[in-house]
Amino acid sequence: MTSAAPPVVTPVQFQTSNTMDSPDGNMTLTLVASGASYSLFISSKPDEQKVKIYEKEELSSHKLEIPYNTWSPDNKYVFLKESTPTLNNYYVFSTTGNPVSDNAQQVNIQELFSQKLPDYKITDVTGWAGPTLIIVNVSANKDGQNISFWFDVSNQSFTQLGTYFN
Amino acid sequence: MGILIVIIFGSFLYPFITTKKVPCANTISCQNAPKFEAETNVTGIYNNQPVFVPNISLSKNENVNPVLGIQTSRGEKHIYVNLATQTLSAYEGDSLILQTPISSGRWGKTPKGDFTIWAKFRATRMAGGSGADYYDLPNVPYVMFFSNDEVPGSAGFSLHGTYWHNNFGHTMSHGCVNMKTTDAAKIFEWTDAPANGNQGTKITIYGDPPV
Repeated sequence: MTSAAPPVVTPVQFQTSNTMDSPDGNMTLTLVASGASYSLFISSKPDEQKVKIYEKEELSSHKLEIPYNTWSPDNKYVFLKESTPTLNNYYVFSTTGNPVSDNAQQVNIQELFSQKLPDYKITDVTGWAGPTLIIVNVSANKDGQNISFWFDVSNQSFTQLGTYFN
Repeated sequence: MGILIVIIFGSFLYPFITTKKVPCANTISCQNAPKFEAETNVTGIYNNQPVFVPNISLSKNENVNPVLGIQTSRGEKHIYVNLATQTLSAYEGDSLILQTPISSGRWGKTPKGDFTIWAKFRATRMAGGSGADYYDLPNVPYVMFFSNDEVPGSAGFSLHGTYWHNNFGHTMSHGCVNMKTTDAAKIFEWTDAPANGNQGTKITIYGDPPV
């Protein structure tokens, strides 16, 4: 079948932003940078009142960003990307501002991963496969093989997948 | 003469003999004709996890931000889905109305080609797979079924909103084109189903998804 020729359009790079609505449009995540200080806010429609859930002073070589798929599908969690000269950290927060786990306000996926799976390095965290499952793309240190894992926020475990989310 | 008769007869039958059956997008729910279906306070299943299912609001005042250009038509409506970049672009004539990441088929292929929307439902149930791949998703929102001569409506392929994952820009589905629910709502309001002898809005799906 001959298909209609699509127009030549350069897709917008949907990577990071300083604000992102939840997929259902009911909540908004806002990252405000003031010098080296970053503050993270959650607001809900319709009142739009911002509630701060996190703040951090960053080194000048570091940068915090909101990834496109930051929101968990049930709006209970968000994750941020922190770029540094050596590696990227990915922090998971509860949108209520409550601790994600028993003893931590946020979970650092990079830190946990490097402790549990030192034979791999994270190349990207793409988004949510489910309410508590984050997709983590990695490459094997030995041979560079690309593999995807689920990180389960509820129990902080990693599960290797049989498919790679390119 | 006998050989000529066989050739003519075979040519007539060829389209029917070689017609391939198109796999169904949702193997369980597409056994029946699609219909509007909305349930209240139910739970879905996806990736072996229970999934919170949003209730469907049918209020006419439902907060759906309209797509740009609704007051004056700028030309024919046409949706392009680029499987290579996992992007949907909606046009009126040459005017780009909306561009957004989507998730096309990973566990089943999203068909490529030129299609038209043949039905729209504010919500419906989608179920399929088996074992670890089993899913049951009530209240799938803003569903726009599409078809062509090779991919019939009964195969159940559609554009629709998504409440069970948020990994747009990457293949995730069983063949449908998953969209953020807010984007699907805009497209749902903007597209046309068949009416008054006119076909529904055109959709062109092209490119090869990332391996």
